Amino acid sequence: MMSKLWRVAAHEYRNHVLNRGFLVAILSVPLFLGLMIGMGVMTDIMKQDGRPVGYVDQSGWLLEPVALPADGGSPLTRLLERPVSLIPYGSRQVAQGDLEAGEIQAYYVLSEGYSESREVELVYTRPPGENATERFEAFLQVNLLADQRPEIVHRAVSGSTLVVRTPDGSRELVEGQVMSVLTPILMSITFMILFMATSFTLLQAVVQEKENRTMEILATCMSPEQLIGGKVLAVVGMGLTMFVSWMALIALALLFAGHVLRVEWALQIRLAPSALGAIALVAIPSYVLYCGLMTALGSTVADAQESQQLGGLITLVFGLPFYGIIALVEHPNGPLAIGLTLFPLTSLMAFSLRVAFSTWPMWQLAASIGILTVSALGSVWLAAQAFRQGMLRYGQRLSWRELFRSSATPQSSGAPVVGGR
Amino acid sequence: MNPVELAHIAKSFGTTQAVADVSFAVEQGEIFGLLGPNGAGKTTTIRIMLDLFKPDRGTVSILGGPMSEEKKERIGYMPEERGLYQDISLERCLTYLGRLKGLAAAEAKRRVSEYLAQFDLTPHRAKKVKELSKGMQQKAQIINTILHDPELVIIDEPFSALDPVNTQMVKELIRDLRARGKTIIMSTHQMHQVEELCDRILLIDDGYNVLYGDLDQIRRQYSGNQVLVRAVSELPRVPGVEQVMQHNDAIKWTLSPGTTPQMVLKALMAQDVALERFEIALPTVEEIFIKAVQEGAR
Repeated sequence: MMSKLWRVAAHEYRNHVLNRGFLVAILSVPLFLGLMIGMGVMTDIMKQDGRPVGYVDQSGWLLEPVALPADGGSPLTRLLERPVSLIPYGSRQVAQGDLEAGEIQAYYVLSEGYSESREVELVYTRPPGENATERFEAFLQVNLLADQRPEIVHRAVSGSTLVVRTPDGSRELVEGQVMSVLTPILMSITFMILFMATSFTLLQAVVQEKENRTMEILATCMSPEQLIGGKVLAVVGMGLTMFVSWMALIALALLFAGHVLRVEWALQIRLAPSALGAIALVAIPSYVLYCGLMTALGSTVADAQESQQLGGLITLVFGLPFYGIIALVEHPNGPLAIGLTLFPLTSLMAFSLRVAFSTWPMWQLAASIGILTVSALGSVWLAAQAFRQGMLRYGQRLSWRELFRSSATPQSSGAPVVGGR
Repeated sequence: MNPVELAHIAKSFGTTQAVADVSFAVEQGEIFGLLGPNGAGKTTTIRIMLDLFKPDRGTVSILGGPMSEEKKERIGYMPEERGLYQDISLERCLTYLGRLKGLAAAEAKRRVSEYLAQFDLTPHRAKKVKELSKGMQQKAQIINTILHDPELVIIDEPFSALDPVNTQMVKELIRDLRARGKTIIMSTHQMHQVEELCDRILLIDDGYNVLYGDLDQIRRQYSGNQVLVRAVSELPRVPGVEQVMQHNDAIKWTLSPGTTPQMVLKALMAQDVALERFEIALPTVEEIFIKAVQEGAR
């Protein structure tokens, strides 16, 4: 009898995964992210000014300047930043003339006592781009360190690194590695997208079988538990395929950025295994809970349109912690955060957000998983009851009151079903 | 033990009584007609039989006892509400549903190919179900019902949406199933098909048994006041004949209450009429159906 469950699962998985829509769904998230990043980069490039920057050395310190290395920066930097050349001027007047003529975007003036004061004046008509200021700062740095040993140059250029560590040492945040903080948040957003993409499919599959009248045939082939179990397995398989595909695409993008474009942060994302494990432990029963609720909904509503409207409401509740993100970040161990973590519908999102900014007591994790597991089993039970009661109600809605009343006395009463008497 | 036995089943939905008291048994290898006007309780009875609904009262025995998951594979069911997966190919749809009835993948494919050829659907095997005509979909439903070679076949309105050629084909198929020892329960409104195919019938009205038993016996039970007569010359007037109607190549006489066919025959013999045909006119199932329902016999 288990084989029928797997047959349903295989059929449903094939139906959902081997089609153009699924491929679009897999590619849509990375493409959307890529598009957003690309638009940001394009905007940044458009704001850059490629005109040279001048400097006037009144101190005479840069009479024989050391030039910047030609290949400074990563390939991505070279690709995205418009090169800015530096032009030495003998006097302010000449530099000012070129500035006013638009030949240069700005010029720096090193004061007469620069060797002691390190005082530099920047003159511009409109603020110069970051590429210009960074270029001049690098030029000064190279010249200031010109007579130092290479290891000192390296240390001075590296600067300081701030590491924030939790008292128990389980979590640490290294300055500049923002992605390590953002990753749990991005993961929770990914979960939300995954939930929406896959569970709507489940919901529609049940509604579709009511709409195309296959329900009565299926109900005489197997038990509702086999049918629902097979469908849930297929959705889980579909979700895993989607999630693994997204992760693989993101990993490929990071490896490309790190190794080919030499984007340092791409290779510096660190996540504590305990945090990942905790998120996974919360995510699995959350997924089952969500699927159970969606299936129950699909069995009670009259058509696909109605199911989408009500399904949207459930999704909204799951995403509730995002609306309180400021409160959660400011007080990650406050009553609101704990409440949202323990409430089964919001556990996953609340927990993922808290993981990004704080540690969590073990009892809260255990309580959350326990409550979620009970709720998930309850939702699957409810889904099976709803399926039994609602499967022959073509074009009719099964009210929740009827569902609970009928669950107490299975199939003994209720409104007449469609399809004769 | 009969393949199907229902005893005093009743089922209500809220305040609506769908089935009040229905009992019947279906014998092995027969075609059993389940008849009744709209809303009589036929579909609910079938769904109770298939364990889709639990009865409020009464007992159901199917293939020797209560319904089980194993028994579902020995039953073929074509519901009144037709349904197939619309967005997949006909061949894949039938193979999948066959597999859910316990067939191995290769066997399901082989049988689907055979039946598609038998039903002239081979050229349409790769089409999506939604691209098929209503008649083709109906044929696909029938294939789905018998694909796994069930012992018990339950069909609700098997001839709807079929043209005369395909109706004939399905009739032959049903007869062939009976010849192979299968038990068939057929629910239909097409009384002439019942007359042609069914061995026994149950007429339900308002949730109760109205007529139940051997079809020929029922027809004989409802006959007796009409005779078909044809003579070489013109028929004379005979006492006790209330109504005279042409019926194909004969005359149908409706007899008054108290007049028997024997009395009429005697009267004709007495007048020395040269008869070519004299027989008791059996009522059609449709006439019996209307009469029984109007009388509300219980």
